[in-house]
Amino acid sequence: MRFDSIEFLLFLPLVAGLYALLPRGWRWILLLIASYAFYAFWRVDYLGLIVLSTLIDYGVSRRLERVENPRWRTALMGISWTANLGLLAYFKYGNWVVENLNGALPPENALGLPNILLPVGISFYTFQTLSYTLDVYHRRIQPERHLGYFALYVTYFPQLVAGPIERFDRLGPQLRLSENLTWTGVGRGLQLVLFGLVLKSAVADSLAPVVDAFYEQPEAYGSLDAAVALLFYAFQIYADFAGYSLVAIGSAQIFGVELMNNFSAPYRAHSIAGFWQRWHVSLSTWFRDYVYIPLGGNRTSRWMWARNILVVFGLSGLWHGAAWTFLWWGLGHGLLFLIERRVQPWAYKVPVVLRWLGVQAGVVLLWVWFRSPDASTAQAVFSRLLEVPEALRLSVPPMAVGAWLGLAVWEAWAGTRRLDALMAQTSVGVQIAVYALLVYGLIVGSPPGGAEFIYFRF
Amino acid sequence: MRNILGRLGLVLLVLLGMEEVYRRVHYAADMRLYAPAVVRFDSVVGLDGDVLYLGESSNWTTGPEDRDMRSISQMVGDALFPVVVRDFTEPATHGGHYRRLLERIPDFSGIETVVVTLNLRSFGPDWVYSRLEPQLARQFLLAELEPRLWARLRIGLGSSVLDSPERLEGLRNRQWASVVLPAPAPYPTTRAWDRALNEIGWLDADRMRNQDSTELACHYVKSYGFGIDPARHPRVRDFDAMADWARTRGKRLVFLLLAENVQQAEALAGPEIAELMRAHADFLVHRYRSRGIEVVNALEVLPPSAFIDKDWTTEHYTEAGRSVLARRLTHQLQTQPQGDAMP
Repeated sequence: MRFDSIEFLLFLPLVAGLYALLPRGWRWILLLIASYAFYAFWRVDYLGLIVLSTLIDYGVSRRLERVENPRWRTALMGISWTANLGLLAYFKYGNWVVENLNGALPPENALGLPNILLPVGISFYTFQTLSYTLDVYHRRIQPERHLGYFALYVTYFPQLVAGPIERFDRLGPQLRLSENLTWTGVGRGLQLVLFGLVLKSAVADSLAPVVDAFYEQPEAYGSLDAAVALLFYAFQIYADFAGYSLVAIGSAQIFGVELMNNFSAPYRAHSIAGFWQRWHVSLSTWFRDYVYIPLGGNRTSRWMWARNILVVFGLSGLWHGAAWTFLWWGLGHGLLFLIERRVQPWAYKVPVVLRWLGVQAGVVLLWVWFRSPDASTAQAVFSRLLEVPEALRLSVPPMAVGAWLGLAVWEAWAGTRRLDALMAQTSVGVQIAVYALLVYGLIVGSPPGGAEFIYFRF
Repeated sequence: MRNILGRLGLVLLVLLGMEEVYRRVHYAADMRLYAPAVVRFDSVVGLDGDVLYLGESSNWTTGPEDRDMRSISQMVGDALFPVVVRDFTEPATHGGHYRRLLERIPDFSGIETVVVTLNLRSFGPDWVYSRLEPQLARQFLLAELEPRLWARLRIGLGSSVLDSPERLEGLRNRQWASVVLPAPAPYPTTRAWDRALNEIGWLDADRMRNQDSTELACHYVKSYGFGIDPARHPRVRDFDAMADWARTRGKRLVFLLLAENVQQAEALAGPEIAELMRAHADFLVHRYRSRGIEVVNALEVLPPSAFIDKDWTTEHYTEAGRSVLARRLTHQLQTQPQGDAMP
């Protein structure tokens, strides 16, 4: 089920209403059924993968609790990793690996494409369960003994298909509490849901047609079109994913659960490190804790540290999709990060505005690799940027310009503050006016047949 | 409790205000932007006219060697002068849309006769669950659903599973795989028939498999290899509703059963597919004639040379093909309404 759908607008109050009616001890059952139903709306058969992943990690973590022998513990971790990463590798990277193998093999020995459909959210829930078993393995947390609560942690519907990727020590106890609904919680949750939907449906979906038109045939456009498409895409992906995250956070808030903030004004960052502290925070902290630090982090030689950085950014790129373009995007960020660190001693002398411009230009240019379906498209886009500017050929509707400007102004003005925090300081009259405007903007500003959430593909 | 009721009342008031603002400020612009076909239909039926021709791309698609580029409806209009024939033709439309469009004809309209194309292919799952369907369905949703703001929300939040392309594709595949085909179909389901044809392959004179012809043969099976359950088929219900509409409104309704390339279907996919096409056509002609609707049966009036597309199943006709259909339709329209339609 998508958040930006009528079904979800009916599903959420229905689940909340039933939740309020049920005794505290039964609520996890409702939320678990709701979470499975939420996923089954997309595809019933792929629910089996989540159940399998849940059972394996539950079993492994329970055994890890009792086993002391380091070899056995490592073997148990191996089972969890093999199962989770095996499923992820097969479903996410199967087609890509075969395509690349076929490129290297003689045509007569080419392998048949498995034609695998990527299960929605597999990268998110796999990383969530991996973090759980790793934390149990390192004895950072006690394993969950109740299979139902553990299953709910894996499948909790607000963040099941596109995060934030939550750690068990944060989400697990909140799910066990099964808090009562409160007016404050429901109100704050609905505010965030509304703001997230506006970001996704009115902003991201208004920008998408312009970006899609350009990337469909970049050769047909000039440098000005390329610049517009690049800027629009930077805001489209931000509004799309941050909007999704806000709906997730708001939905969980209704049930008294606090999910982590996934975004914090990333386009205000004036360093690459700062950008990654503000963009998809739950993923960047996951890679920091489970890849970068185990590799040695920065407590190693300069060359090994550089390798660690590139490995983390490269993996982060590949996490997003099975394509070389994602790898180049990730490695691009890694290289910028290394360069930034290298020039740090004298970069401080450069005015902040110039640093901000440089960093954001790098981020926006690297989005080309992220958005392009293949390397030749990315090259065509870059070559367009180098042309002498001509008149704009792209058809840019006023709605798209308004959406872009609106988000840019919001980002510059409100920055890291969230709408709910700002609204709490205003009078009831202002709140009513703002909400009415947001609801109206959501309804009238959403183009028909809105695009799928970009991060659903990951 | 009073507090809650007060808040609900305030919410209701705000929603009513928004509905009013939307109706006055944005609705007309949204209709032009997101429901252009409906807007165009409204403008067509608002003009003076005696006959309205409702159809899909078969009306105006022309061939590369055509000299007379007139559409079927234009040819009919010229032949019937001074009777004015208006047309509304939109790609991928079908009975489900025509039925709803007819309801929009205002009482004051001068249109007394409506011609609706009866496209055999539109009864197959390939068209019933077409990927173009959501776009057309949204237009009607915005035009018909009240309150208007709710309609706008429905079309704006784009993932309604009810009309998602993925769901439509699933329904289409399920129909092909599960609906039992009537005799003389040689296989129980469309899927089985399609697979069998694909496995056997279409062989050229030198006994070599011709992939293009094989695919076209399979496409004929998928386009026309279906069953019609009169009680449940959505298109049958649509045409039934149109017949009821004509009776209630006292209008003359003519169904034009479009020509299909039966000869090519038979040559590529075997005689069973041609027999099935004829059986479906006979069923529809009989059903609607028995309900007092005039039906022009043009299923097999054109030779393969009159079809523009040679590598796909379409109802796109050359100049010669369009003029044959126009002549038949003209003849029917010149006949007294009570008279029998041409066989």
